[in-house]
Formats: sequence, C-alpha cells, structure tokens
Amino acid sequence: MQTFLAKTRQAGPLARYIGGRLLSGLFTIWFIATATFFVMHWVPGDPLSDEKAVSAEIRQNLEARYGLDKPLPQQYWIYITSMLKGDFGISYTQKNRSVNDIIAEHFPVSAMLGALAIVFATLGGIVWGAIAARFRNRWPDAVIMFAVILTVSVPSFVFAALSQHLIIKLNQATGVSVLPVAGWGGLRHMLVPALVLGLGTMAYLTRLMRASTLEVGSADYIKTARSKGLSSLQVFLHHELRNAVLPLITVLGPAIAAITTGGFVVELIFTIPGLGRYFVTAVQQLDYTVIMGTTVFYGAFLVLMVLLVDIVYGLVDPRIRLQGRADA
Amino acid sequence: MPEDTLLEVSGLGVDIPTHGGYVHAVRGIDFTLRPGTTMALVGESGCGKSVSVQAMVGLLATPGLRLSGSVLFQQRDLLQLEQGQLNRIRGARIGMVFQDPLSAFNPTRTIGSQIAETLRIHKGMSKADGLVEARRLLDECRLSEPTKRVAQYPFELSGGMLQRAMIAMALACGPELLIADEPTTALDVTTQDQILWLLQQLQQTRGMAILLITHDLAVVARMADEVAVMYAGQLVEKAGVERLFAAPAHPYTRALLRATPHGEMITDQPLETIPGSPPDLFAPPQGCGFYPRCSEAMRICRQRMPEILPAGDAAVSRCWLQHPDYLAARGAGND
Amino acid sequence: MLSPVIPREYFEPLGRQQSEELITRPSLSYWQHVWLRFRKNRMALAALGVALALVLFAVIGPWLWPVDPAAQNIGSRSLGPTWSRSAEVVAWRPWRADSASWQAALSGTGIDIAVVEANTEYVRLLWKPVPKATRYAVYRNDQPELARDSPGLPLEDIAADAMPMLEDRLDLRERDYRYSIIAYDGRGDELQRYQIGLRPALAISLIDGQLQGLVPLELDSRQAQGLGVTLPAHPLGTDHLGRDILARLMHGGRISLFIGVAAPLLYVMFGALYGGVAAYFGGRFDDVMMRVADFVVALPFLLFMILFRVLFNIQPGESGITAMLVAMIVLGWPSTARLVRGQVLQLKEQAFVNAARILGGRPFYIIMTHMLPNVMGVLLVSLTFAIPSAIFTEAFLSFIGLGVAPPAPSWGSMCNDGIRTMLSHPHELLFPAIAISLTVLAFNLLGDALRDAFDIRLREGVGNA
Ligand SMILES: Nc1ncnc2c1ncn2[C@@H]1O[C@H](COP(=O)(O)OP(=O)(O)OP(=O)(O)O)[C@@H](O)[C@H]1O
Ligand code: SF4
Ligand SMILES: [Mg+2]
Repeated sequence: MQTFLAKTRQAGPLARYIGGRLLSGLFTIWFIATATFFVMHWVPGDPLSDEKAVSAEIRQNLEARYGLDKPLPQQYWIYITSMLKGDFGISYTQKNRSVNDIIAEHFPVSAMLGALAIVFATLGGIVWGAIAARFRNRWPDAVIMFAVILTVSVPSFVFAALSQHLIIKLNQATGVSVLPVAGWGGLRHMLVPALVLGLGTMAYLTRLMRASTLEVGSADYIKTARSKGLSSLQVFLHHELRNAVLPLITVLGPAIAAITTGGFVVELIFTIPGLGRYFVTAVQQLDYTVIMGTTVFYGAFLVLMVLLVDIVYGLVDPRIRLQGRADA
Repeated sequence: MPEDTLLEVSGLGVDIPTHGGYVHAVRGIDFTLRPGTTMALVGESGCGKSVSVQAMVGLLATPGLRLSGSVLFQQRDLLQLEQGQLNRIRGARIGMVFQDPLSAFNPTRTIGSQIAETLRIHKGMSKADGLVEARRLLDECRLSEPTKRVAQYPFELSGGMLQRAMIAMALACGPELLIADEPTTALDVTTQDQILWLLQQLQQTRGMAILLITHDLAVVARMADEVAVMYAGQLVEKAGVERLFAAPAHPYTRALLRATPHGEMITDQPLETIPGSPPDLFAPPQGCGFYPRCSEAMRICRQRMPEILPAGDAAVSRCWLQHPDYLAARGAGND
Repeated sequence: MLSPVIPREYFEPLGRQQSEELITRPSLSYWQHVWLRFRKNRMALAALGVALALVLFAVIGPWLWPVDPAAQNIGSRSLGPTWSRSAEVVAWRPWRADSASWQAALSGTGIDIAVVEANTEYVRLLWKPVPKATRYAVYRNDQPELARDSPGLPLEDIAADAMPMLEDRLDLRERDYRYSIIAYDGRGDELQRYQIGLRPALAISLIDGQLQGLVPLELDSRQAQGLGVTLPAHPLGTDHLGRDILARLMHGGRISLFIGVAAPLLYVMFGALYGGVAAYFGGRFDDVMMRVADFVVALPFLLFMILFRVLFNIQPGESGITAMLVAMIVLGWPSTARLVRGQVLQLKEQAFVNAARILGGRPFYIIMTHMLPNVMGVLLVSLTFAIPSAIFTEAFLSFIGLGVAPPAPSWGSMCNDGIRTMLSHPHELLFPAIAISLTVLAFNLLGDALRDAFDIRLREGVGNA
C-alpha cells in the first residue's frame, strides 16, 4: 500500500486526472451558481424586485448586498465574487440572518446524520451483500435479496414515518422513553433517523456487493487462488472480499448525493434541525436568497464529495492510477 | 498401478449443469503420465481440454456438477479426496499455469505477496521469508530485476513477465506435476518461444512432469513425449509424439495435421479449421462425434460410438477404422 | 466388446454430402430467446401482471368507481375502510332540557345518569344533581376497552347552578364510549363520580345529507328528521377531508403513472439518440458529447427542479407537473446515453455495420436500421428501471411540496397528506404508500427479469430518494 501511495506523489497520470476532475468540478459549480443567478433574475416578477413580500429593512439589506440598483452584469459580478469569498448572501424572509449563519448552524447536524447513515449503509451493504453472494441461490440469499427489493420499493418517507410509529409504540409498551421520537441531541436521537436515511443506499450497496462478489468469484485469479491450495474461506477473505469491496467505492459519490437528498425528508419527519429541513422550508416559502445560497453550497459540496470519492478510489485501486479516465 | 506412474486418469466424465440442461463437456478420458515426462493435450477450441484438467484437480465448482471416473495422483484418487486433503495437494504437489497471466493474478495484490501466499500456506513460511523465496523463484524463472518485481502489481508487468511469475508461483513448492493450460497462447511469438524454453529448462533441473494443453501442434512437437488428441469431450487418439506425427491413426488427427504447415514448423501460423463444427455437447451424438465432418465416415459411424482401440506402437485411437471387424472386412474386400 | 461380427455393409464409406443432414438444435432468433427466458421466470410474469393491473386500475378505474376524488365531506373525515351503511338523518336543533324532562327521565328510577340521545351527530346526557357540588367535570374515554381506568378526554366543565346536562358533538364515531361525570365541591374535592357507556347510532346531519344528494333538498328539518339513508361506501376509507381514498388513488395513479412513464420514455429516447450519435461519429465529437453528459450528471437535481419551477412561474402550493417533467428529462438522459453509446461502440466493430457503411448507407439510416434493433434490449431494460425511479422522484417532490399539490391527487401528495394523520389514521398513508411500493416493486422485478432475459449488464445509479 505504501509503495503505490509513494508512487502517486510523483505527479503521474493520476495527478493529471485529478487536476482535470477538479477543473470540471469547478466549472460545474460555476455553472450552478450562474444558472441560479439568471433564473432568479429573469423570472416574471423578479423575486428580488418584488416589493410586497419583503419588509423595508430586509429590502435595504438586500439592495446593499446584491447591488440591486446596479446593472445586471455588475450584480452578477458582485454575486460571483462574494460566492468566491465564501459569502452566500442573506435571508429573504428572516431579518439579518445570513445564509452563511444558516449553513454554519445547520449543516453540521446534517453532516453528522449523513455520515452516520453512510457508515450504516456501507457496513450493512458489505455484510449483507457478501452473505448473499456466499450463499448464492440458497435461502439466506433469497431472504436478503427479497429484503433488498422490498427496501428499494418503499419510499424513504414511509420508512421514516413507520419507524417513528414503531418508536412511539415501543415507548408506550415499555413505559419509558427507549428512543426519542423526534428532535436532536445525542447519539440516541441520530440512531433511527440515520438508519432510515441509509436504508435505501444500504439496499443498493447490498445488491452491488453481491453482484461484485459474484463477479470476482468467477474471475480467473480466484481459480488461480484455489489452484494454489487455499481453502475456500482463505480465498473468500484474501481475494474475493477485498476485490469485491473496491467497486463499491465508486458509487459512494452518488450514494452521498442520494443520502443528502434523503436527508431532507428524514429531517423533516424527525424534526431534526439540519440544513435539509431548512432548505425545504426555504423552498416552500420561496426564500430565494436562501435557496440560491444553499443550493450553490449543496452543489459545491456534492461535486467535491464525488471528486473526493474518485480520488480515494484512484489511490486504493492500483489499477486505476495508470488508466486515467475509465469509461463506464 | 505401475511404479513409474504419476497420474492415471480413467474414464473421466464431466457434466456441467446450465440453464438449458447438462453440457456433457467431457465424455471419457483415459491416459497415464509418468514422472518427469510431458503429455500434450490437443484439440480444437471448446473440445473440453480445460474442463477436463480442472475437473481432475477439483477446480470446477458449479453446484450440481457431475463427475465420473477416477484420477489417481500418486496412488490417491483426487476425485474422492476431501477438500482439505485436496488443498494440501493443490499448489504443493500439483502446480497450475493458466492461459491469460494478467487475469490469473489478483490485480490488487503484488506479485510477491501472491507467490508468498502459496509458500505460507504449504510451507508455513513467514511473510518476509515468503517474499525472499518469491524473489529467488522469480530469479530462477529468469525474470529480470526480481527484487523490484516482487513489489510490483500485475498490471505493471508484460504478459511474458507475468507468465514467468505465474510459473514461479506454480513451482513455488516444488510440485511433481505442472499443469499448463495453454501457457503461451496469449503471448507473442518470441515470448512464446522463451516461455517454452523456460519450461524445458525447469523440467530438466526439477524433473517434474508436465501436462501441457495446447492447440498448437508446433508446441506439441517441441515439448511433448506423448500426445493425447481430444475431440468433442473425448480422447480420440493417444500416441508417442513421433508416432503421432508420422502416422496419425484417427481421421481427426489427420485433418489436424493436414491443416498445419508441413516441413519446417512455423509457430505463428494459426491452426486452420476443419470444415463443419463440432457436435452440440448438450445432446452428444450416439455415434462418432466426428462423423459429420469425417471424410472416411461409414454407415456404422453414425449409429455406434467407436471404442478406444489399439492402433499399433502403443498408440490408441477411437475410430471404426481400427476395429478388427473393419480390418477383416477390408482385408476380405481386397482379396 | 462387440461379440458378433459387424456386417460388412456397415463399413460402407459415405460421401461427405450424405452426412449434411446432421444439423443440431433448431436455432431461435434473438427475440425468441429473450421471450423464452423471460417466460420461464415466474416472478417476471407476476410482476408484469401486477404492472398491467396497476395501469388498468388508474386508466379504467375511475369509470368503474365514478366517485369525485376532490369531493370533500366534513361529515366523514378519516374514515377507515367501510362498506355502504344505513344511517339516520338528524337535524340538530339547540337542546333545551327543562327540569320537567329530566325529572321524567330520572325520577323514581334510582338511576343517576341517563342518555337522552346518542347518534354520531350528537350525544346528550343528563344526570342527577349532586348535593353540595359546585361544578361537574365531564370526560369521555374513546377506548374504554383499552384504558379501563382513565376518564379520557376532558370535554367540559359545568357549573352546578346550570342544568346538569351535556351535549357532546366532538368527532363522534360509531363505536363504544364511556362518559365520566365527576362532581367537585368548593374545595375541589371529588364528591361523586357517574359513569356511563354508550355507542352512538350512525347518523348524518341534514346539511351533509343534502350536500351529498342523499336527502331531497325540499325537505325541511322536521320532515327529514329520522329519515333512513344509505351512506356511500369507502372501500379504502376517506382522508382527513373526507375524500374517498379509492377514487383518489385511481386519479392519483393517473398522474403518478403518467409522470412515471412519460418522463423516462422521453429521456430514454433522447439519451439513446444522443449516445447513439456520439458513438456513431466517435472521435473528438464523441469526447465532447460525453463530456457534456458527464457534466449534466454532476448537476444537482433538486436545484434545477426549483429553478424550473421558478422559470415556469409556479407559486408555492401550486402543482408543477410540467416543471417536474422538464427537470426529469433535462437531467435524466445521460445514463441511457452512456449505455447506448457503449452498445453502439461495440456494434460498430461488427462487420455488418461496416458493410452497410461501405455500401454507402447514410449515417441516420444505418443507425436506424442496424443499430437501433440491437440496442432495443438495453433501452427496454433501462426504461423499465427508469420508471420506478421516476415514480419515486414524483413522490419525493410532492412530499417536500415541489410536485403535485392539492387538490389534485398524486400518490406522492397523498402520502404527504397521510403522514400528518399517520398516528391516528394510518390507512391514509398506508394505501398510497402501498400503491407506490407495489408499482415500484413490479417495475423493479420486471427490469431484473428483462435484464436477465436480454442478458445485459447495467450499471444502475443510486436512485432511491
Ligand atoms: N461453466 C460452464 N458452463 C457451461 N458450459 C461450459 C462451462 N465451462 C465449459 N463449458 C463447455 O464445455 C466445453 C469445453 O470447454 P473447455 O473450456 O474445456 O474447452 P477448451 O478445450 O479448453 O477450449 P479452449 O481451447 O477454447 O480453451 C465447451 O463446449 C464449453 O461450452
Ligand atoms: S469412427 Fe467413423 S466417423 Fe468417426 S472418425 Fe472414425 S471413420 Fe470417421
Ligand atoms: Mg481452455
């Protein structure tokens, strides 16, 4: 492992690959920001010039912040440069609250919940997928795959509502508060929401892990390993499992995106004060500046996460380093 | 079993279950291999060469697989052994080399660690000792810069280099039998030549027997002491190498030889195909499998399966042309 | 061994030609193979059946069950599944019980508490005054069989100088209740506790009856009082506004399935064209086109969903089906484009396409006649997998208020409504959730089966919102 880590440091194809990805990521973020800007300005009844919805005080703030009295190109310039400085603007409905404040306050909550969900999903996916593959076409496989298909067929909000219902019933039955029904606090508050949030991704990863384990299982090098006299358990642990887990890393990027989106729903149902819930509220109230700031933030976050995941994969899988951009 | 027999295969049959029913991939293989000698298994693609050798060492793992016959290796029937006993033989007493060295190595582990793994499980070596020994083995297999190779990944080596490493790995524990399944098919001509030469050298110094699968008659001529020709899952002819090239008994062998350039053996010439195609192994014909393509086919060939019959000079052939009744009938006809 | 000698004629040589007849298994066409494999899969056939049934449910259901999905009915809110029932029309008039009437009801009977009337429009109780009591607290236990000891919901506090009677009109159902009346003295000590159990008779108010067309409009309250009517059936119950859930599921299914099928159909078609063209021309053109596809993949869906809503000037609380479709199509095509590109690149290697090109076929013609049939399998499979993901997307968007908004029903918006009343009336969430899950399940299984039948390997995206 150390040897190829060392080797990647001598800027090779991987460095160029990462550079290229970084560039296209930045371009994507810029595009998102620009699209947001123009749509917000060119809609009929420009939200930023619609007087009736906004109090005079906020109005003044907005004008100062966005330079609304200036011509459009200048406004765009102000917008982009402040974004570059990491300033995402101010709220349209809440006095004196900047989007940065909102993100700083609520994003850590979402991030914590999301991270725990990813951990659940990945561990669960690997374990269940490996079990299913190992018992291919026998009953554990059938049970797991049935659970998977059921899980991916039920919308996450149904799971959220259901689990909340179950917690209430559990608390009623035991007479004590075994788990909190909603809200935010310690790990106890995160447990069920994170599990629900990770469930869909876990099912997906289980399926992927199973397929990838089976694929690895039919690879020539597994035959080689068996021809060397390794027991089937040794083959499984030292050759199959290891190689089967690798492809899972490639889908962690989309998985993070799915969990971020899923977070909106879960935070809403469990009344968790995360950025997702705040975002949905902003969307429902058409708090344009919060929508603009938060979406650009989300966009940048996701682009960076996907990039990060790709880089990690490049580092972990020695095959990728030299290949550069692999086609799907 | 005679003392000087390393491997004796008799009546080996393999039926592989698929969605559409059983593929009768191997339908009766018999041969013996003496220590330190080379037996070549030849036949066109899909005739069951790989399936038979993999079945011999228990590498076929499809659930529902049906095996028949016996494979005596050092007096023990490999088909009857328990998994643990078999594992102690595989890699230690029998080494295997496969066709495509790049896919035969685990792409995410270094060459050294994969060779050392064999040494660790059979000889109980430590990881460090295993790597030292791996380096020595790579050197023995004439791989350049063995110290560096030990720490490299498969994709960093060329096909020829990998095949050397593969041979080193197969020979790590000093096996009595090396099974090489088309070890040179995926390589270019010069590299093929080097690998074959290496195998010959190693056989001289180590004295192991080689079961060499190939469909290249040039390779056969160069390497083998004995040749077994397979067609549609059956052994159709077995003979010493000189006898086979000089006087092939089976029409299929003759067709094979006709499709190969004469005189100077030119190794890069691909084997031409014989018109027609082999029978469907889902429902093998009741008569001779070669019947539809055979220029000497007779009425009986279609209805009855010929048996393995002596064809002179210790050779055997599965063809009605060798049947005593045929010979008698022809003799009478000539009168 | 063959003991008898084989006759000579068996060894007659045959010419090559004579052995020609020996051709093995009949060869099937590609599509026949696919169909054969598909048909063998029982699960696939079941899934196909369920999918068709769901489509029929939404398409012809509203004819078979012609109930207005938007008709609200305050009188029958959040009903569980019910068949048609007979009820009595009651016309409520203020209750003025004089001392004479309760004297008549209670005097000499030894009974402390009496039910004057009990129907689902109102329950009227009377009780014997407790001496020295300053006030009466009235409670109603809605689940007497579960919580035996609890007095239940506090209904009213009645001063002792008023008439000792109670009229309850709070969300009455046709089920058992237990009323408790607790008398307190001036210091707040309990003096006496009366309890009575009752089960209100099913009734409908005159106004509701007339609104629903069950009672002729010309009848006045006196004439209508006590009239027997038949209340409509709600096989799946009603929602929190008294709307029939079955009718809403059918109409909602039209919207959900329309979005679920239309969006994937359009973006799979576009993606196929895009990927096909990119691969066909190849080279730098292909590079650029695939760059664009990679770029689109990286765009966050929700942001563009919002942007399209803003662009189409859809206000919060309005349905944005067009915006939803546009967003799904604009952002959905790249995965299909990649798949088809991969297939076409493979096909391009094959001789027959080259042959067509050498013979001078025009690119478009070649794509249509040679390549399209070969990528049909991939297209069909990706379409089948795209449908559940689109249905999920609709549900998710409606759930967070960016999709279909009331009063138009969609399965997603019905779930959104249902979640609010989930704890008290789970059926309002359950039925639309089942509809979504069943559809998604059916199409997922179908996709799996088709993939196996076509023997295609796909890289699916993580599509579960
Ligand atoms: N896992 C399997 N499932 C079904 N059929 C199989 C399987 N493995 C092999 N076969 C069939 O068994 C027959 C023999 O295959 P085998 O790989 O032994 O051929 P081969 O002689 O080694 O050919 P080649 O020269 O191409 O390596 C083929 O007809 C093949 O279709
Ligand atoms: S048995 Fe008959 S068909 Fe078969 S090879 Fe011999 S002659 Fe030809
Ligand atoms: Mg083979």
